[in-house]
Amino acid sequence: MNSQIMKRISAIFIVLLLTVPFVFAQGASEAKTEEQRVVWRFANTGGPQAATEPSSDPEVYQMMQDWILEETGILVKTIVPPKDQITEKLNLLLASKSDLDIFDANVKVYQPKGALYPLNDLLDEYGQNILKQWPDQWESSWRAMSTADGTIWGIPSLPALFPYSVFIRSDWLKDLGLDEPTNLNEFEAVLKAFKEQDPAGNGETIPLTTMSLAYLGNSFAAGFMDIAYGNWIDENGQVMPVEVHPQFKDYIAKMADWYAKGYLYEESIGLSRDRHGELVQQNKVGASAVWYTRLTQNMTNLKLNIPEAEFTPLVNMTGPEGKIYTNRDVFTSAVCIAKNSQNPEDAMRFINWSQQDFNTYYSVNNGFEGTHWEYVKDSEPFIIQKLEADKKYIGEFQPHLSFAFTVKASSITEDPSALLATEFLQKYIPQLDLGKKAGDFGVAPLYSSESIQAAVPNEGDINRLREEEVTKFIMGIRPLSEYGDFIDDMYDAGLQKWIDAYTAEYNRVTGK
Amino acid sequence: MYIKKRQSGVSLKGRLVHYKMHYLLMLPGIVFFIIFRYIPIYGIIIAFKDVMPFDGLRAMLTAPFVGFKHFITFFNSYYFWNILGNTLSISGLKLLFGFPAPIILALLLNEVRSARFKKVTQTISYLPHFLSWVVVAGLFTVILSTSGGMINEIVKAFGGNPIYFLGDPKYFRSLLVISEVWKSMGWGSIIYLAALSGINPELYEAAIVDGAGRWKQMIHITLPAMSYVVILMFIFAIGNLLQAGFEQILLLYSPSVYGVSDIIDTYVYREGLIGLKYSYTTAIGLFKSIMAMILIISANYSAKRMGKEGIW
Repeated sequence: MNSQIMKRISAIFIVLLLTVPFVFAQGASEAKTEEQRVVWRFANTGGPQAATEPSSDPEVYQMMQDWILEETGILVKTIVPPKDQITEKLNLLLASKSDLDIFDANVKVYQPKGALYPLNDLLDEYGQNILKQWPDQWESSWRAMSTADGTIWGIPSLPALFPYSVFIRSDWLKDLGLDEPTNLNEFEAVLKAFKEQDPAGNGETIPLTTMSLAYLGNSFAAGFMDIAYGNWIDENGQVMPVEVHPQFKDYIAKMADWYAKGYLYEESIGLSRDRHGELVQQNKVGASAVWYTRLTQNMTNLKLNIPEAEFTPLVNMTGPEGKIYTNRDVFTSAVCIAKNSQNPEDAMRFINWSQQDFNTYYSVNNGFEGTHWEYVKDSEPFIIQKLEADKKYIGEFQPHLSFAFTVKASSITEDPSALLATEFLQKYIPQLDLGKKAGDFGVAPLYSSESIQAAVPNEGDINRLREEEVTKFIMGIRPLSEYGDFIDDMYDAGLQKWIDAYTAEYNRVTGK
Repeated sequence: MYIKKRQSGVSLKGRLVHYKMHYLLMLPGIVFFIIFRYIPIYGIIIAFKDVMPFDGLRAMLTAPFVGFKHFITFFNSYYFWNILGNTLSISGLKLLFGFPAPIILALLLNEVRSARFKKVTQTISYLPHFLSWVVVAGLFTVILSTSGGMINEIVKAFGGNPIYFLGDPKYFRSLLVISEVWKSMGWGSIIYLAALSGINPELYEAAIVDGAGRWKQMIHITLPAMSYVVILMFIFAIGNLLQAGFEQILLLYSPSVYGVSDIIDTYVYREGLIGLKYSYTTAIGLFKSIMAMILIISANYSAKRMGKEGIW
């Protein structure tokens, strides 16, 4: 009898144990009993993604949340996605209609999929600060955020920029008695010297690295062609991909040569941000061709290991065909409001409030004045002194990282990473004359991705072919003598459809 | 027989009442399968529709029906045969080397005399199973790196040039198989060790009396006795033949090895989760499931034809 009872109790206990998680999983979605106006910020760019800490100090987080609530009457809650799963997490949150109001996204990708809330009325009614702060000379950004009918789907964050550069270890140049290279021939001689004289020691010097085919192309390809690394317009007015430009092969040949000679690091193409950072910080990298922050963010740790280490951007270096860099066109990535937002008005009010003045913008992005930073000069252009706070703030509440504010201030800092990043930002980023522009520069951001996707449903296949085969040519896995076959393969994969679709969009936008 | 007799005259309600505790124990499992396995099957419908990814559940009903459009797009894809070929060949290689590995390990462990050595070996061989693919991929990336990686340091010590193993199509599939076997062999041997422990020792004693050595004991007693488990596991493995190892490949591959490593799952990930073509990738997923079902039915049929027990 006792045994029977024990069995029953055990069975019920096991069932409860197995069932309880279901019950609690159902309840995990926070009950919305409170009357509080809540806005959810998905922190997928800026501070939270650049910070080494996973989150702010809980006390500072609470203080920031309370301050925003006090100022706006809105309770802002944040979601910080894992750094390597940002897109997946965002897509799943949107598809599952989870609580989500503000997020950063490419409007060309997310608007056709029906993920975004139209902003015209919200901007008119609640977004006057935002409209006022974005400079008139960057007006093209608003057009890049819009569909042909004039509907605005995002708030621009960045205009066209000059963000790519080759950074070189200037202290190694001095040690080896070399001058700063001004053209690609001199640069190659420096790479050779790095390789042979091994300034890192133990044969560990990596003369040149990058992180992706795009970074490499944006940093060097334009130097070998009369066009930039991007789409170009042929004599018939067709939009063509860079791979079919007759001079593109010269660029690949040079990169393949550098790869074969051991100048270009074997693992460069596809190198993760972390691994690239490790190599730089371990004092192994002589030069790196990347988006500037990918290099600058490693300076702090590099200097801890090697205090005399210095990286210098080679922004004026030229190739056989002049400037080697390609400018970044107007960004179509922006701050967006989710179509399923429960509270789009408050989402816009919150963003707008953050842009009421520099102090508010800087505080919500960087922490409290007096604790995390202080003014050295409190009028435009602002000068900020970053402070070493015990309780860190990583910027989860940052509603909008706007370049309009970025250019209004500079920082005084002793942190080597911030120092180099600020220097590059202030001196070079806005200077588009340092790089070349793609043939459809200024037009491409206005293409309708919906039309292109409908005309070229397998664009992903063409993109894989371009990336994979060019990588193989550079790595010597495929001989350059087969380049003609590669072009034929591209046409077999549907390149003509691609050309027709992009040309049609180019003509539509330019009115040809 | 006794139970059948007893049950034959009892109604369903009576049986439910009588075995209520058993049914209660089954309940969470049944609920789990209904919620997470059967209800989502309804989502397959989007493979035949053009569903906007963020329109939610209602869009599944209201979206326009497009028939087999997405299947045709996939079959006409430039990389269809490459992706299918990679999926089958990587899975095939893993099956070829990965399936016998735990059987061999179990047989070897079964022959070990020292209980302590056996336990230590077993424990060590189980450990990789508990590492996530993120950790394993990190380990392999560092070990195989051309900059300070252990393997390339050995290559250099012997006068060779460093090889970028993970970026070379010649080596990439081998590395996938090696890392898979290393990670799963120990854990996979458990079921075979359990089968071995169930063999009647008297069979071995009789074989020894008949003059059989260890090799003959293994061939004539051990292997036949565990063949049922081997067949069962083989049918399961065939059913998983199209699961070539999504996470492992996604973490280890790079553009230069796409040609030998891009599989159905990585393609679905790129086009679906990143490219937001949910209808298209659901069609691909359905195609994969149908292929897997055909494979498992064929394997089960073949097993039965060979006189072995199938899984149904």
